[in-house]
Order: sequence, then C-alpha cells, then structure tokens
Amino acid sequence: MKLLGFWSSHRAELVGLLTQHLFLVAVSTGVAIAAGVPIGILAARRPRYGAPIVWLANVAQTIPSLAMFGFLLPLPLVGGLGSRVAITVLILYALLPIVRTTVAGMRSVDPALVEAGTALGMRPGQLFRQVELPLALPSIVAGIRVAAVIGVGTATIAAAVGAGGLGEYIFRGLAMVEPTVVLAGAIPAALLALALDGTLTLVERAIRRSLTVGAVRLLKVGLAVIFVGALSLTVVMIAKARSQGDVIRVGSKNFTEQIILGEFLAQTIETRSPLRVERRLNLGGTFICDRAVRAGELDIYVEYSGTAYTAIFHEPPETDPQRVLETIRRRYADAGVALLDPLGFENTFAILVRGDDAARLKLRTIEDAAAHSRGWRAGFGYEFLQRDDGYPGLARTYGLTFAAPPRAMDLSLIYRALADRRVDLIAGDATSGLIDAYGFTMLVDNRRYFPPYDAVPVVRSGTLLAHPELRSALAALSGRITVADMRRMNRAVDADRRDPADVAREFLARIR
Amino acid sequence: MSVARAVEIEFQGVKVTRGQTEVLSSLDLVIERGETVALVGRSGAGKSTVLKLINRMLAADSGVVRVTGRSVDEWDPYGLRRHIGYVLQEIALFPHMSVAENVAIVPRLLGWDRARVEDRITELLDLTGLPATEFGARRPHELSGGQRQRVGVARALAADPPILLMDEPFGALDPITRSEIHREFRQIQDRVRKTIVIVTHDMAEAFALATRIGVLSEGVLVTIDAPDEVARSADPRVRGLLAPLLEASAHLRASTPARSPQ
Repeated sequence: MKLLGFWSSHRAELVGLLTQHLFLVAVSTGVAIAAGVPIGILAARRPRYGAPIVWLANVAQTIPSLAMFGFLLPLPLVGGLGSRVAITVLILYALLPIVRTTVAGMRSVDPALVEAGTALGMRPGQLFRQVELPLALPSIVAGIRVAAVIGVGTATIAAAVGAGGLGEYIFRGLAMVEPTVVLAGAIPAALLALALDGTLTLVERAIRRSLTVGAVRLLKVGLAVIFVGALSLTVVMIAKARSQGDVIRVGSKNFTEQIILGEFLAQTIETRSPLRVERRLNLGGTFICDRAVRAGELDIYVEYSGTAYTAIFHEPPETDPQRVLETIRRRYADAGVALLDPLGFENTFAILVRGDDAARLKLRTIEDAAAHSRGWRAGFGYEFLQRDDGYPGLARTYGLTFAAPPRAMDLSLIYRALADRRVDLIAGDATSGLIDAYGFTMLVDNRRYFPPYDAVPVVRSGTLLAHPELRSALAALSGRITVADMRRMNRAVDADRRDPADVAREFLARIR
Repeated sequence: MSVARAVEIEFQGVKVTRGQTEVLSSLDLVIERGETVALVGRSGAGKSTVLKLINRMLAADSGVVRVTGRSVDEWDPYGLRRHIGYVLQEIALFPHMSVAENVAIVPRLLGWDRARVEDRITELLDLTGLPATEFGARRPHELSGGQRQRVGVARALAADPPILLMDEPFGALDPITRSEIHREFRQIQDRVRKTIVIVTHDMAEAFALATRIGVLSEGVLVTIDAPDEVARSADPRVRGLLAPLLEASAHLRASTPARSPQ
C-alpha cells in the first residue's frame, strides 16, 4: 500500500509530528483542566460570576480556529507563531467542555448527600473535598475526555501557524493534491483521538465504579501535578517567547510554489550573509502570514502584489503593475513592512487552451480566442465564476461567449478536463506545473483585465534596519525568476515528487 | 418534672416561619437524657424542622434551643453536629465510599487515630449485625434496604454521640424488615442508652420504639406523653393518626379467634 510505504519512508518524521501533536494536546488540555475545573466549580457555586465565564467559553468555541489563530497572533505572550499560539487556541477550545461538565457534575450531586455531610458535621471545605468533588469527578473526567478529543482534531490546524503536529501532513497533502499524504496525517490523528477517547472512557468508568477515598486522593494528587506542570510550562513558554536571537524567520503560505519561494529566501540568506535562518514555511494562508509579519513573528515572506492590493489592503481595482506596487509599498510602509524588488514572475489567473488548438487557430491573446469561443465550452473554478474580477468581467472585457454556460469545476480537475477535451478553455494558475505537462498555451491578457500578481518579498523594516546585509543578499533574486522557471519547479515538486528544498537549491546554483 | 433527671434537649418558645407560613409556632419541649421521643405527624407538620433546629441545620426565628444545657447558638455548629448522631430520611449513604468509610466519617472528622477508628468500625458493624469482615469493604449499592439502614444507624452512632436524631429512618423498608429492625433498635438502645428523637408519620412505629410520643399538627405540639396516654387521647388530631392502627387491630381481633385452634 502506498500509505504504508509513505509511513515507513517517513518514520522518523512521523514520530516527531506525532510527539508534537501529543505535546500540543497534553499541554493545552492540562492548562484547560487547571483553569476550567476551578472556573466550573465557581460557576456552579456562584452563577452570578460563573455564567459570564461559561458564556465566554461558549463564544470562544464558535470562532473558527484559523480565524482565532489570526486574531491571537499579534498578542504578546500568548500570540506569536509556533506552538505558543497553537496551545493558546487549543486551551480556549478545551475550556468549554471542561467548564460545562464541571458545572453539570457539581449540580448533579444529590442534595440529600450534601445535607447528610452537613448533618454529620463537615465544614464546607470538607464537604467539598469528601463529597461534592468526588461525586462530580466522573462528569469532570467526561469533560476532559471530550476536550482531549476535540484537541486532537483542532491541533491538526496548528500546522497552519507553524506549530507542527500531524496537520503538517494534512496541509502538505492538500497543497500537493496528494490524498496519500493527507491520509498519512489524518489517520494517525483519528486513531489518536479514538485511543484517547477509549482510555479516558475507561478511566471515567473506573472512577464511577470504584471511587474510594484512596482513589480520590490519588486523583487529587494527579490534578495537582497537572496544575503545577501546566503552570511551569506556561512560565517556560513565556520566558522562551522573550529570548529570540539574531535569526531571520522566513515564512511561506501553504502551497508548493510558496514553499519553494520560502526556500529561495532562506537559502539565499544562508549562503549570502552570515545570518541564521529559521524556516516557518507552510503557514495557513495570506491572513496568517500577513498577521505574523506585522506582529514581528515573521521577518520575511513572498507575497503577490495583487493579493496584497485587494485582499490585504482592500484597494479598488487597478491593473497597472507599477501603480499597484507603489500603492502597496506605501500601505506596507505604514505597517512597518518594506517591499523588496519583485522576483520577476507573476502568478496570475491564466486563460488556457490546448496547444494544438492554439497552433491551428494561431491564438496568442484572449482577444484572438474570443473570435472562436462561440463554439467552445469553458470550465472555471467556483471562485473564479463568482468573483467580480473573475469570469463576469472577463466576458465583458473581451466579449467572450461560449456554446454553453461555463461549467464550475474543482481546480484540481480543471487541467485534466481541458486535456481530455471535455472543455476547450479554462482559467488556471499561471505558474502551475501542469501547463507544461499538458502542453497548454496561456493566452495573453492583452487588454490587461487581470490585476498584476507580481511575486515580491515583503520584509519587516526593523529587520532590514538591523541587518542591512539582508537587502544586498536578496538583491541576487531580483527579477531572476521567470514564469517558465516557476512552472518547471512547481512541476518538479508536484508531478515528480521532488523535495522543494532541493529544487530551490538547484535553481539557485544555476543563477548564481 | 423531676429535678433529679438531666435535661438533654430543651425548646423554649421556638418559632420558625418560612415566608408567610408558620412552620413551628412557639414550641416548648423538654427531652431528658436516655429518653426515646417519637414526634408523629402528617407531612408538613413541622417534624423535620424540630430535628434540624437541634443540630442547627436551621435557625429559630425566635426562642431558644438548648442542647446539653447550652443554647445551640453558643455551640460551634460543626462541633454540635459531631456531638449529635443523625440518621437521615432515605439514609443518604455516600455512594462513593465503602460501608466502613461511611461509618468512619465522624470519627475521622474528630481526628481519631487510625487504630481507634478501625476498632470502632468493627465494634459498630458487629453491633448492627453487619460483620465488618464481610461488609466493611462493600459499597452501599451492594446492600439491601435493611442493611443500608443499619449502616446509617452505625454511621450516626460512630463517634458515640449522647444524642441521636432520626428522620423517618425506617420509612423505606418493607413491613417485615421494619419490625425486625425495630426489635434490633430496641436491643441497641438498651445497650447504648442514647437520648433519641425520632420523627415519623407512622404511629405504629412510634408505639414500637418510643418512651414518649409527641404529636405535631400544623406546627403545634398537640400533646406529648407516654404511649398509653397518647392512645387514650380524645383530641381529633391524635385520633386521626391513631385511626389506621385501631382499624388494623380491630381486624386482628375479629379474625384471630376464628382461625386460631383454641
């Protein structure tokens, strides 16, 4: 089986990611227990203070995890890239089930038993320790079980902020459109969740069955250990957060091209300057990368001018590359971020036709194609069909009409559909390795409908000031990468399964 | 009232109100050391309130409750409760503790050393007919109703308190088990000689156990007297409680000769 092969060839990495995953879940669940159980007890005892806390935990649960990572990134102490912010998010998610079940457990204690304890002469503290807590404990453990299982699932998203864990495989697999790699991470995560669920169910049952005074004492010691452990880990993490040396942190988003570009930056800095590099590649998208670079958690990554212009700064449509660059240079400067020289290629929407059609009909531009499109079928991604700067505007600009309304297709299938002649024109990705693989022709946007998407490194101004050698080192990349280069490298990684670092290294050796 | 006898519990003009209703109106009651007093009444008559006033689970709105000569307000409430055994309605054994641990609660609260606690558990479980070697490690849910009841009594007696309060202690038992337990109760009482206050709605139980019977109705103590005197009472509130008893014995008298082979 392919999957077993992948695991055995990545054995060491798998163990490492699994350990990271367990670490994230263990620490966050531990802290959530240490905080959630007392909060739950307070909430059960004094609903006036407790209710708002339970409400807050409820709200936290509804925030999508990727958004939560983005919001927390810029915060001091709890934010940042890596395991710290991941643990913070996981704690917030784990709190609700623990607080809830603690409240439910405390409330489920039979009032007759509380009365019995009081009548026997127990003080409130004794009543709590000897009667209420032990009787609420099975319910609390049930909450811990739910929290841990949720944690295993949510921790897969931690890979988006560079915290590692099994999500690394899932994101990598998604970027490569490689189900084997996705499964390589998803299956161990699922098994881990099942194993945790089973183990804690047994613990819960054992407690329900034989909750002796001795077992309660043991559990209390356990909880105390968790509390102290969680507290000291938090302290260590906060301390670590403040001790960052002379390291340039290079980031990238989570698709193949970005990972190769991240390697370009990292390797160039390593070979052309004395600076050390920390790679934080494969982060979860534009939002995370942008927040990270502004928060000082990343020093540099490659952005696309059009993406920055529309997605980050929400500027109105503009197609002049120079004006776009000027605008974002100004906007970035306000945020303490500088633009370096563009790398030379553009990753824009590509209107593609089969190479034989292009040759036969002598198609060079989109305008050329408009004359023939009446008899064609077209396929576009869902987003492209909907977006204002997608199909509707394109059709208006070039007067494109097709034999049938364009079909909406998944991006991973669209190239195949064109090659198989199920459609005759598609909108793809200008740097996709599949363009060359299938021998497609990319039609020129001669009326400049699409905004420019020049690849350009963005770097923290403070980092540039502190390390002027960075600018000169990276000048070596300025304008050196063509669309054809990028396609070839994407293809090498996606189709030929080569390592992005090796692909980047070979290219850099050639342009030196 | 004989001056030579020691007064253990005393109510003087005790009043308890809850909202607009008077749960207890001006109760005067003296219970002497070694007595077994049964308080009988319908539900809501104020019986449990009387018990809870004695160990300060409830506070009186006016009047004084004295235990062993001291007003309960002067007692440390936890000390007071450990000084008084309490058998609760529905027993309320702690389900997460073994029989032995349930019985050991008050001695442990009082800080007895381990050996003394062990000895006491063994003694008490033997006294109540549940040998510690066989029953000590069991959980309450592994016991029958009657056995649980005995553990409840053993738990209340654990620290050898001079006073024992019992709130409907045998209500959940079937009639046969109940009369067995009544017999054992009298035997135990003969040996331990506690001052006992039992609350019950069952006049038969009061006759079976008490040296004096008090009848409560709507927060008023209608009468308190020796069982024979109570049986002769003409008060309709007392007669009402006696009615089922009288009917039962009338049936017995009517049917016994016919079946007996005399």
